[in-house]
Amino acid sequence: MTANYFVPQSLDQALALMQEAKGQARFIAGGTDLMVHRRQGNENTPVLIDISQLKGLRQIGNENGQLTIGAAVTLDQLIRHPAIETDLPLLKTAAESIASPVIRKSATVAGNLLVDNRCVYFNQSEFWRRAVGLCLKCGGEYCLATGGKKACYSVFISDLAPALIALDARVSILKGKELQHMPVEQLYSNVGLNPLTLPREAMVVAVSLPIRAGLKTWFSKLRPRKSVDFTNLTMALCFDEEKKEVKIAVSGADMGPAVLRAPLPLKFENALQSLRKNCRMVDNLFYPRPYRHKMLEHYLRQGLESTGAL
Amino acid sequence: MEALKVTVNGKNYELLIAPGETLSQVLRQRLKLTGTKTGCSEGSCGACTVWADDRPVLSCISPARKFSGAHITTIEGIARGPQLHLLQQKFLEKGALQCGFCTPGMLMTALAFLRENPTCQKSQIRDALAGNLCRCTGYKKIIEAVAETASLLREGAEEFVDSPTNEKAGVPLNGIIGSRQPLIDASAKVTGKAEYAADVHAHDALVCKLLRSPYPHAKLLEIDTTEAAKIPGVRAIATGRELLEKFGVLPISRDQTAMAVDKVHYIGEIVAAVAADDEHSAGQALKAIKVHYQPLKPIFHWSQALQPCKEENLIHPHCAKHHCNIHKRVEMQFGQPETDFKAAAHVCEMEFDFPGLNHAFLEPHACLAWWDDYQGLTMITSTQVPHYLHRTLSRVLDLPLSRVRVIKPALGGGFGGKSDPFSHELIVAHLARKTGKPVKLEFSREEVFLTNHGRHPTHLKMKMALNSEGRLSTTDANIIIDGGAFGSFGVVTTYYNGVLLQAPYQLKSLHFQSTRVYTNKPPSGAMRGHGAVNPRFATEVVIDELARMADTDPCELRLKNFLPENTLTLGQFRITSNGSRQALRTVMEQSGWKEKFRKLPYGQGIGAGCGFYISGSALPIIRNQHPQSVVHMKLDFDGRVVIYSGASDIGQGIDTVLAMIAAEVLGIGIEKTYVHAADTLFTPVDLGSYSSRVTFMAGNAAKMAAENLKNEMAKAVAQHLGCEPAMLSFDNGRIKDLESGQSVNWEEAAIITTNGRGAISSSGYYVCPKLGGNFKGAGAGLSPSYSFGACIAEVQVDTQTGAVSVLQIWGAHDLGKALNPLAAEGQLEGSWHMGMGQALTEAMRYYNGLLLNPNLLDYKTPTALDSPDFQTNLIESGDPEGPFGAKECGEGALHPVVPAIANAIFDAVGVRINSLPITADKILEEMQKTALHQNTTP
Repeated sequence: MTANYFVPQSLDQALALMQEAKGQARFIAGGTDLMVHRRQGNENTPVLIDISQLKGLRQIGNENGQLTIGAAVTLDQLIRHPAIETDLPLLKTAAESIASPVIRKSATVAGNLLVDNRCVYFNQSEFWRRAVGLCLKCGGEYCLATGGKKACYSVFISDLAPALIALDARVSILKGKELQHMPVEQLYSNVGLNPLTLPREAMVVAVSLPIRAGLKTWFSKLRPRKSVDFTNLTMALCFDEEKKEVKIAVSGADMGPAVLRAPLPLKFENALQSLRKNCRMVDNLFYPRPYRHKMLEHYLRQGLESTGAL
Repeated sequence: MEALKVTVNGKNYELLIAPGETLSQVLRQRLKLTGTKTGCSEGSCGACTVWADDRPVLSCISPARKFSGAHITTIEGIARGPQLHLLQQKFLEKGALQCGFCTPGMLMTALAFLRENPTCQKSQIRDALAGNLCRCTGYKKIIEAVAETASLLREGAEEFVDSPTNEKAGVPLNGIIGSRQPLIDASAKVTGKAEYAADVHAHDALVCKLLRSPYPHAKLLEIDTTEAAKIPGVRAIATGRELLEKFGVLPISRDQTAMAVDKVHYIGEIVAAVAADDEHSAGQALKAIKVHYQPLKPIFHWSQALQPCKEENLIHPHCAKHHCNIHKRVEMQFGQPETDFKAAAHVCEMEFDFPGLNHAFLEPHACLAWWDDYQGLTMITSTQVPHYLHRTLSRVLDLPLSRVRVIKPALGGGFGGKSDPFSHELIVAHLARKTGKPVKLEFSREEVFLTNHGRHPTHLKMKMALNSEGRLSTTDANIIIDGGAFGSFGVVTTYYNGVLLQAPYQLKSLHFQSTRVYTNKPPSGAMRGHGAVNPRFATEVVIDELARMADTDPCELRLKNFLPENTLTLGQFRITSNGSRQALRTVMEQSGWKEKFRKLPYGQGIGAGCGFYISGSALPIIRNQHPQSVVHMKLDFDGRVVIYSGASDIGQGIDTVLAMIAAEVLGIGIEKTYVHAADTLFTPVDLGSYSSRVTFMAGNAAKMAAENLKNEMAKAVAQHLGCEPAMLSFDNGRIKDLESGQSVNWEEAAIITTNGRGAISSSGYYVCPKLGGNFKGAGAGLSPSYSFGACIAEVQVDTQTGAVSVLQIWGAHDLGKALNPLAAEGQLEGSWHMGMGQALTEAMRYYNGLLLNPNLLDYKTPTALDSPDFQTNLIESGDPEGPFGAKECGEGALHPVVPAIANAIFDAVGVRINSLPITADKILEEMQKTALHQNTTP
């Protein structure tokens, strides 16, 4: 759990520190996910670079119908922003579904996007993981959740990502000095062992998305308790009447987000089938797999019907 | 080491901290600001909440270095000198705290929320507090305290207030019994001053860490500590061979050693222990200990445990007489069940499955021990039973009883989970003696779960009959309980599962077989409602079904079948006071039962359940001639009445009740009392906080002690006034001769009484009357009194997803007399909350003997958002033998709520889920099966 902890005061300083560490460092902001992994021994990077103080990363800009959310904006800050409240109810609902109000005051937008995949056989103490016989994700040879497959089925559990993906948001990433932009869905490899496409040195600096009128959106999150819990299935749906298409993004169902963009008119069975293909669920969360599949169908129908897309 | 400059509660610090230290570690260990609690160290419970620059943060998962230059505020920084913040005052006044362990974090979260949301609604408060778990209160009183504070502040109330003493608040000095009294330690708990075991600092203490078995069942071939012992900072390493004496809370099942000796019985069993200068070296040493195991075939499920088994594969050799892993089997019969089943109009039989449950109190176990050549062993530990620990330490460490002292500090919740003497306590004591230094141990949350001793996983079949007159005639139950690896309270649990079926309904006959098996899992033990919760669930669900079969109202059916007052049950339980009827009628009326039952729209439902429970076990665990509880009182010239009691306040408020009893008898305010409790060196024996015995037994002992003190004072004052002692009244702080009207005040009376002889002492005790029949097993479930209760739950089931929302719970509990209604309500609301968790979300889930959810994120206790605004009714039947008529209210209220919720779900969507918890997936699956069945049945 020990690490050298740096709190840089500028973006340049942060990047320089990262470069100096030669791959032995990680960025940390709220730390609400990372610190638990460190306590459990699933994360041992020797250098932590705290970017939560960087003013440039903590702002929300709203210009020319384009909303830019800094990576270190807290979920609480996001929820309270007037533009989110009025124009992006999907994002607000998604953010409000995450963790608890206190955690949302530390947890950040990028932190939720980059949150590590979860699995009941992985998110455990070192004692536990050794007692069970290490799973694939922590250095073992097999996936325990599937009873021996050679692939990791840890679940992608960000609640913000489905909402941002459905809204066609893009992330801005700094790799060294180079700034790149890409759709949020491209952050994810859909591989359980290494769910992100980014190298560790890269820094997500912002998320941006268009604010557009006339979108009909829907969001739902499956969990046993009404607060605190990680998702067992999250669906965000955006129906664009103008373009006559729906975009659906799902978490809690696969190693990465399951995304479906489909033009109208839509055949429900076809939509469901194409989503299902990308939802490789196994029994490694609270609710059993068959139930989560039923809920996938239910959510899809409800989302499509309530937005008028079906 | 790294430098950290930080301001905490307005004071500047420059510290050197280790890399990776969390804010909570800095606050608690370096600054000794122990008001900030750590309940999980994983950001799941909220107990560690503090403010960083006025923003609430979870200090247990926050790197301290993050707060360089920040202003940190902890609970110690909230009160202004002697003035409490209004919210702290409201917490105290409204009974928003019991054990107090979640309280600092809860207050920090709530205060930050109020600052941002001065105009908040109750629903927003629930949401805001959802990340702060509380296991005692059911959240109702917390929400009320926050809501009232918000509204007072909006009206311009002062933010900081003087805490009123009773005199100022106008509470009558006599008649204090029955008044709503804040707990006497509430002020210490809302300010962070209350010291729990982990908060006690001992100079130069060693840190103890435990090596646990990664195997569920294995021979222990060799433990090599050579390398570990060489690690700098390691002072001692202990292994099983050093403490060979077996122990267990029940003398009949001493089946455990402090550490594994020849084999390990479950994943998590302690194999070795290290005492070192600091946590790091202790941790290094654990890694360096080499253990050779030879795995044995493990048994995980009760059905495997019942299979015939070769002797060498038995979990314990004493199971050999059963030829399988049965620990205890009990079979009892009263009357002629067969005849009654034959004569029945309706018979209903169902099968039920219950998972194991954990108490999930917020304070992880912690203990501290030291050795002194003159004093012997002293241990401060989070225990509900200092007395049994006292005896066990003496046995296992081979020390005379007179050389052992056990102190219970403030305790952060127990619910039965701290009512066994534990291995770790024996180990820490042993290491303290071995090293000559204080040794301290704090459990991680995972260790709490591995230690368990929670509710037994249970499989049971319940068959009941209803005759043509609408009378419940007989019950037949077959119960199998999974004890895990060791005995604990299990023999009692085995009996309770059966014998506690003989009330609250009047039966003609009863038969049961109850079997406890050993498996290679953490031990099961006693948990709130011990032994009776699962069979009660089954009974109340079967009754609901019988009512449906007979086309009658299940509440009316119950009303028709309740036992009367002053009667004997089939197994000769002596029922005295009995408020069953009043309890059920109260909740029926309040809930609008008649208008709602079977009349609500599809998806919405209402259900009922009843229950009863012992008010203290009539027999002590260790047979002896001593009273079950003794209380001493001392009066000196200063007029303070010091109450010495061995009873354990675990948040339920017994210390307060003892003070109230003394105050009532002596006609003084409780500020003239002082409770010195649960310290085996100074306080006379009380058996502990289990089996809902404390108010009844310690309360009676305190009443007797106070009366004896009063008599002694009366003699002295009568002589002084020249009157008859019998003519003196003790009222409102004055002792008055009713004939002449002359009087002295309390202070004068204290001087008069102590003149010429100094301080006086009095003693009171409680001995249970001889009860019960003369057959084998007659002693099980005997109690001097029984509590009764009823719950009605209303739920909303989402017919598309199966998700359940508990809309309301109306509960009524016959507690004889509410000595302190504020605390009594809290006990009931906490019980209902816990029962709701059992009904809907909680389960200990295993994978090959390894607990899958050993943390407070995955073990799902209901949050503030999941809990309804309980409607609480105290039914006062006036028990003839309880102190001022009181009997238990700490456990019995849990029984009716679990089946009430299940029955409400049936009323809502027509499916019965008899395998707990009743989760959305099970409901939906059953609903779909039923629909399919209906569609395919012509």
